[in-house]
Amino acid sequence: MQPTDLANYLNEKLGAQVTDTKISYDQLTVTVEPDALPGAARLCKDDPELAFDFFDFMAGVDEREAGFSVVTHLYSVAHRHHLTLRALAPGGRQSPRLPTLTGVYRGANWHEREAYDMFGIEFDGHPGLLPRILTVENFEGFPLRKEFLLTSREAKPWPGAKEPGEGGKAPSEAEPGTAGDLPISTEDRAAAAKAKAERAKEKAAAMRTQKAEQRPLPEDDPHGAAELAGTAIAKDAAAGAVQGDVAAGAPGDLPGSDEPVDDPAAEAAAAEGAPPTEEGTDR
Amino acid sequence: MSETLARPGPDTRMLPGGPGEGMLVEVRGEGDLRTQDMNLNIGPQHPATHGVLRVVIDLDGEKIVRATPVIGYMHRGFEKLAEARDYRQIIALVNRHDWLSAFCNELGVAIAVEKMMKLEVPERAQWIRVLMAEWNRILNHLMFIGSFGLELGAITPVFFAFREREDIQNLLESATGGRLHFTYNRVGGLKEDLPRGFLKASQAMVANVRTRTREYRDLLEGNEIFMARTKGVGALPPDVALDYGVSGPTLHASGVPEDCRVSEPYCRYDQVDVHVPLGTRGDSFDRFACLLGRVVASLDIIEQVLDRIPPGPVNTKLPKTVKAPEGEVYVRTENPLGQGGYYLVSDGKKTPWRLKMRTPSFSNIQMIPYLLEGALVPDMIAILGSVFFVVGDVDR
Repeated sequence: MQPTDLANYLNEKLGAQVTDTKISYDQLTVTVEPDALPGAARLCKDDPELAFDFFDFMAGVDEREAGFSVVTHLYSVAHRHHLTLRALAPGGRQSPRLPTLTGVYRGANWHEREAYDMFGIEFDGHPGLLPRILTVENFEGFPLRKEFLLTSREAKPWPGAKEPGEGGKAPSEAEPGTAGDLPISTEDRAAAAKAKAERAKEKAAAMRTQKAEQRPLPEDDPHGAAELAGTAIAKDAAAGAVQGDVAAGAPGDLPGSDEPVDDPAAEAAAAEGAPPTEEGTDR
Repeated sequence: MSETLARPGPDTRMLPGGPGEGMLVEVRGEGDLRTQDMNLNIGPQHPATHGVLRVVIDLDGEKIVRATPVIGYMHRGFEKLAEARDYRQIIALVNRHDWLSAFCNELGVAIAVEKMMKLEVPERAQWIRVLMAEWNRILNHLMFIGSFGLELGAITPVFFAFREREDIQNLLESATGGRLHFTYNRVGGLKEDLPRGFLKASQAMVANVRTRTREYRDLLEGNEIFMARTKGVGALPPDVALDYGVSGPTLHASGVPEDCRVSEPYCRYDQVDVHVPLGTRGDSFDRFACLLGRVVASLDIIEQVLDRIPPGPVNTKLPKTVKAPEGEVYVRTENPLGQGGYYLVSDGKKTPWRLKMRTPSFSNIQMIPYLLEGALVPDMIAILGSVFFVVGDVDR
């Protein structure tokens, strides 16, 4: 059935229970009274003209002041037509409630649990909305409600502007239309990485000279390199230090000495490139 | 049953020592043949589960009395994250929930945004999308062909499957730069054109994979042990499958030919022949056979597409700010694991108001208790392995 025919048919069958029909992008959305939702779904499933046998999905939608609505998408394999049933949950933003569809479609069970978990919409007659399906048991709040803010965004604004000329840390000199409309321009990122690499190199060089000065004086060494002075390890280490090699393993490089703990060579390498490796989640 | 298990009664006692210590068991019946009900956790980390799915099962001897999948261990809040991102950024976000079908996931959201913005996607991009989606489908199916064998004790197929996967990943990497998360789609087209020689390499790869598919048939489909483990195990009737919203090869195995590449073609699927392999009994063996059949069907599609990719641009010029007009749209695509859908609600701003991901694995996993109840423990492996799912796709 075409969306318009479908809308007429449903209007005829459901009468006043239908509060609104809307066709956009060739897709029909029928809004029904909340109480009429299970009845409407039952009709959609059992009526041979409709035969909506495939339960596609159910999703909550934040409707601002009006509260929350739930959309249920159905599909008929035989007739190849779609329907989105929509119902606005009564109870506003405080206690949204809807009757359950689990009696009509078995697939509604988890989708309703998800809608509860994400929006806090309660479904009367549902066999068990708890434990929360996706979040953890002691999770506070309902994450997909608009008043629930992303923690990372709360702590730190989005790095870079979405549009040229917008606030944030985006480069103001970026040419519009080139890299400027990317969230963070690639030039900017490259320049920052280069500057960081330079800084790290300078630091490494400074530390290298500092260490080379310190090395020949055993009394300055708090880690007892003097005790090892006769051993081959210490000799190697000393040789390394003379060559300006700050590779880990030289005794003076141990934490606890006057220098900061971080490894300047590694920092330089990290800053110079080597994008973070892809996570190993193959399965 | 677990209600009685929760409270120790006169007949309940603790299992002494060992891994089951502290577990409550109920002794039923009398004499030598009395049985004990046991409540057992499979997962979250267990070789028989894919990723971090946990199934709590109540056992009566070897028989599963009740099974409850516990999901959410990999919930990463993609739907919330999408609400804080530009339409172009979402593409990189949505190819991550099902990491084995990245391209197909991107495709759905790209089409949804294009539909809302009324963008005309160039012909060449449309055809390349079909090509890449089918390669991605084969990539995904090979993984499951290998792992299903592995779970049933056949070690060899997984090595064979990964050999092909490696080749195909190299091929796709040459075009997209990615091996897992391709991010090759863009709103209005593709990231860039195919590299020189890609079509020729595709042609060679099709022949290659086609011959090797026969090896899987011999190794698994014609394997007596494999048949004994899977035939008649976990039969899913078509009406129950539809009721739960099961889709993809799992649905096709039950004999329902619903595939939106056929019923509601997107991109250029309307101009190619799409063969949908169907099962008759809906058991684990049929599900596997459908999966293998889909690989061959995808190879056929790729062969049809290779000659027909027209020259031209692969991208459209986007306005500086990508804003979808107010309204809502639902776009569904046939993803490797089943029907993937995006319900996109826009309020006319730069970020979506709501993006609901309809993921095939979520609906498929929901049906699992139906198959598990009454089955035996070793059959659980065959059932879980044959309802193809990715945990990231379940939890999002």
